[in-house]
Order: sequence, then C-alpha cells, then structure tokens
Amino acid sequence: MPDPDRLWLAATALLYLVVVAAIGWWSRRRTRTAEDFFLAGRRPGLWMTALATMATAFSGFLFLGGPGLAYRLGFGAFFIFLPLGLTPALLAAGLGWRLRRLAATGEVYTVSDLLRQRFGSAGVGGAAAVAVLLGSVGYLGTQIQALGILLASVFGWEGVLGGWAVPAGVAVGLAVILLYSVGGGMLGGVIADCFQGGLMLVAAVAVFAFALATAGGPGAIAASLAAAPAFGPEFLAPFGRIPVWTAFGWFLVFGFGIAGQPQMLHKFFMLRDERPLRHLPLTLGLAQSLCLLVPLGLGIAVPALVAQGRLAAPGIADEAAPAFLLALAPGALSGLVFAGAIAAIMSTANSFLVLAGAALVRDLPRAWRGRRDRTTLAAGRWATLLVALAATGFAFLYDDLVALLGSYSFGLLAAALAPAVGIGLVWERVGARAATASIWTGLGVHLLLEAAGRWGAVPGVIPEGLPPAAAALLLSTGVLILVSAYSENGAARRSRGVAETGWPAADG
Amino acid sequence: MIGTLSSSRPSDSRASRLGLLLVAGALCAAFAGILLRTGAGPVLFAAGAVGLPLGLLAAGIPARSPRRWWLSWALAALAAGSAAAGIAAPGESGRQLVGGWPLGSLLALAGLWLLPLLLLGVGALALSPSEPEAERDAARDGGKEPDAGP
Repeated sequence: MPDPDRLWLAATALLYLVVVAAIGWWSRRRTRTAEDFFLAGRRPGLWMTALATMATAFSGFLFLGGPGLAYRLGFGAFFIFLPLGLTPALLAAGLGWRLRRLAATGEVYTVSDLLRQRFGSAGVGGAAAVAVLLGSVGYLGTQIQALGILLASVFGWEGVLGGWAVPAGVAVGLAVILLYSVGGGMLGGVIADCFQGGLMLVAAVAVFAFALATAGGPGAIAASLAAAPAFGPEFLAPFGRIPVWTAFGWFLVFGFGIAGQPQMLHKFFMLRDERPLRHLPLTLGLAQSLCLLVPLGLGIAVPALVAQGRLAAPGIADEAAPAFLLALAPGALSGLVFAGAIAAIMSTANSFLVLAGAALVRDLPRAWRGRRDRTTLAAGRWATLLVALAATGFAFLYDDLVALLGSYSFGLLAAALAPAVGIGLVWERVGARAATASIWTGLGVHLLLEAAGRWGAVPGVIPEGLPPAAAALLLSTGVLILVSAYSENGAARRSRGVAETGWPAADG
Repeated sequence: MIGTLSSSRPSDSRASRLGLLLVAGALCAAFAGILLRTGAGPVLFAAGAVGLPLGLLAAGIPARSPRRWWLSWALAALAAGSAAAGIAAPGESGRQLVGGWPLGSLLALAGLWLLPLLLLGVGALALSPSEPEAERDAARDGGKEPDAGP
C-alpha cells in the first residue's frame, strides 16, 4: 500500500505538469509572429510583469539551495537576498523606463539588441551575446539537472528505474518545458510564469508559517539555536558564519548585478506601456519578499528542529528543505512546495531557453556577419529546441563545466553586463569601446577566477572570502569608468554630427 | 554628466529627496548596527557594495537640475561612509538580544531589506508622473510605437 503522503506529493506534481503543458498547448496556437515569440507580443501589463519577473528571478535555488545555504552559514546567507530591498526600484524606477523607451525605438528583442541600439556598435552586441549564451547554458544545465533529480524523487522513480531515474526525470521535465517554450516562446513562458509565480507565493507563505509553528515559534527557534553546540549564537549573528568580504560581495553582486540579468531586463522590453513602472517597485518587491519567506523560514526552522532533536541532521546542506518536508510536513503541503520548486526551475529555464536561442540565431549572426534580416518565428523555435538539447547533452557529458558555469551564472552575467547596462544607460559619456572592454573584462576575469578557485590557485591579491563575481564586477565597472573617462565625450561626437549612440535626444 | 541623459520626470521634488534620504538613512543605520561588532577593515569595499547600487538608483531616477545629481551622489556617499564607519568600529551592540533575537540581525533584515523596499516602493508610486505626463515625456524623448514584427 503506497504511503498517502507520497501519493499526495506525486498527484500535486502531476497536476502541476498537466496545467503547464495545457498552457503550452494553448499559447502555441496564439504565437504567430517573432514578436509574440520573443516579446510575448508586447502584451504584459503590471501584474503579469511583476509575477513573471519574480518567477523568472528565482530558480530552484529559492526552494532548495537557499534553505541549504542558511542551514550551513546561518544569517549570513541572507546577504544574497537582502539586496531585494533595492533591486525592484533599481530595475523599475532607475532603468525600466529607459529599457522600455530604447526598446520602442527599434527592433529590440534582446539585451544584445539593446546595447547595439544604445552604443551603435555591433561589437558590443556580439560581446553581450557571448555573455548571455555562456550564462544561459550554465543556468540551463544546472536547472535541467535539478529538474531531473526533483522529478525522479517526487515520483519515486529511483526504486523502479534505478540509474535511469534522473534521465527519465530530465526527459519528462524537458518535454513539458519545450512544449511551452518552443511552441509559445515568451508568450507561453509569461503566462506559465504567472501561474508558476502564484504557486510559488502560496507555497512560500504556507511553508513559512508551518515551519515556524513546527519549530515552536521565533523565540524557541532562537533559544534552541543559541544553546546548541552545532550552531551557537554566531549562527544568528548578522554575518552568521561568513566573512565580511563574502557578505559585502554578495550584497554587491546581487544588488548592482541585477542590472546584468537578461532574464529580468527582458521583461521590460515586453511592457505594453510605461504605466506599470510606477507600481512595479512595490508589487515586484513585495512578491519577491514573500518568496523569500522560504529560505528565511526553512533556513532557521530546520536547524532549530535539528538542535531540538526532532529532525535528523541532513547529510548535505541542500537536503535540509526536502528532509523537513518529507519527514514533518503533511503530503498536501509537501506537494505544494515541491510543485513550487519545479515551477521555479521551469520558469527560469524557459526564459533562458528563449534568450539563448535568440543569442544563437539573432544576436551572434548580426554581430559577426552583419546580417540585419528579421528573425523569423520558425528560426526562434528551432533555436530554442537546439539550445535545450545542447544544454541537456552538455549537462550529462560535461557536468563539471556546467557546474562551473551554472553555479555562478548570476555572477557571470552580473560581472559581464551590469556595468554596460546599469551605468551605460545612465551615463552619456560611456561609449561603445568602454562597454565592449567592460563586458570582455567581466566575462574573462570571472571565468578565470572561478576556474582558479576550483584548482586552488586564487591569486593572493584577492581578499579571502571575496566572491570571484564581486572581484570581476568591480574590475569590469572600473574598466567601464576609466575607458569612458579617457574617451571622447559622446555629446562632443554628436555635436560633430557623428550619430552613433542611437540614444533618444535628451533634454538635459 | 549623468543628468544630461535624464528625461523630464518630476522626481526633482522635496519629497523625492526626502525619500532617498530616508532610504540612505535606513541603510546607514542597518549597516552601522550590524557592522559595529566586526571590527574588520574592508572600508573601500563596503563603500562599493552599498554606494554603487544606491548611487546608480539615485542617479538613474531622472532629474531636471544638476543640483539633484550631486544630491544623489551625496546620499550614496553618506550611506557608503556610514557602512564604512560601521565596519571600522568594533563593538558589542550587535550581540544584544531583542525579544530573543540579536539586534544586529534584526537591523540587517529591516534596514537592508524591508525599509528600502517600502520606502522606495511607496516613493516610486507617489512621485512618478501621471499617465498623461509619462506619455508626453515618451513622445518628446523620441519614443515611437513598436513595429508589428514580421
């Protein structure tokens, strides 16, 4: 007789997959142009944008990695999430209207298009496309691996299929993602994102309340953690168990670095008009904050339960959330949270599939062969399929390389693109040369430092605990500012009649 | 200069400046509180971590006058300076308990996450231009309707 809780779990996950597949089928019939495919037909309004941006921003890390990190590092782990107080306003109030207006001045489907439009240079677009492609492959590889593991675990395939359980999970998960990614592109993706975002919000609030209540409430949690030798008072201190350099590095990368995340910037190209921008900082910020209740709740409740002797210590930190859910939560709640985790993975994977496909068939050919013909819907669909298959193969054949790219894809995209987008759209003096140099610097330095870290050969000039992405981001920002400062002013070029920035006339 | 790229949204108001000042103040208080106990010395990096996002945000919100531009960066410098001072100053205040929780951690959560979120969110809602103003700005800045695609 199967365990009723496991049945609940599997039924909820199955229902979720059926709904998402139905959205994919529905949206496929409504995707008729490349603009529908890459920009959801420029139809999203406030709530759709807020939910889709939130769902895309959070990957499986929110439900699995985040609680695991907090279990291992204590309060210091939250420095990854704390910049969310600033980033919705940074995106919507600081950059959003610029992104929207630049996107309206030409055929801007991608960040590469945006930078080419801003700087009037194919080289900038090409460099950005390489960064997006590398970051996307890394993100996709890890998301696809995580999806396979999660589905195999939820449906209990290990006992039946043995070593083929994870590949079967990957195949099923990928088939559902492809149904709405290849068929509906961003149109299907955004609609699925809204459903997935809503699911994530409900799951986050429910699991937070249940976890805190199970562990005895905030007072009991703090007391048991402070008294346990395995955790101690340091666990609850602001920096937890991380060095100061790590805390500030995370704050920088996950704060300023948000300006380099194509999966989020892309949502602003889709906006129907600018009206939602004034509401977005609050709506997006509150939605993201509700989702953060997952790592916050599980991150302190699980170690407290371990300290109280009511839950066995997980073998590895990333198992903290699943261990709690399977041991203590009712089946319906477990099903909801696991469905939320699958939703978070799928929404991120869909965005990166379409973005990587666009980089392949649109951005790179435009940069290196100078092709300016319009991207067709069929090309977008074939490229998305190709990227999905390539990332899956890559994930199985070269998992070490995928882990290198995937674990740090946020940092890679931040280091490469945040200065060119975040500062380049605000500071007129930034030119094509500075932006290109900054992108290649961020990309190269980040990959070199990550590889050096894996091989235990981090240069001595890097302070201990400083994340490689933070060092790369600081360097790429410095390069952008220095090259801009010593280059000819863009305004001076325009006054000589050299119209190369494509920037709308400013009123000063 | 950054200000010359800005469009004409009415954010150069007293309320706008007050909002940014409140955000900067909240960040300063939170950083000062949580960092008092560390006694570490990465002062410049703290300035970058806090100052860069806040400065970009402040500078990114459009302004009509150069005075607003300087004010934005002054606020960013204030936040960064306070964080740096907090890092450099050793102390025990971060260990004090409030309702069973360490004061420093509560300040970190409130000052770095919730307060800026609410202040900036409500500020953007209250200070952004009305819809006709936004449409007028967009038209004047050269925006045009997106093409219909292939």
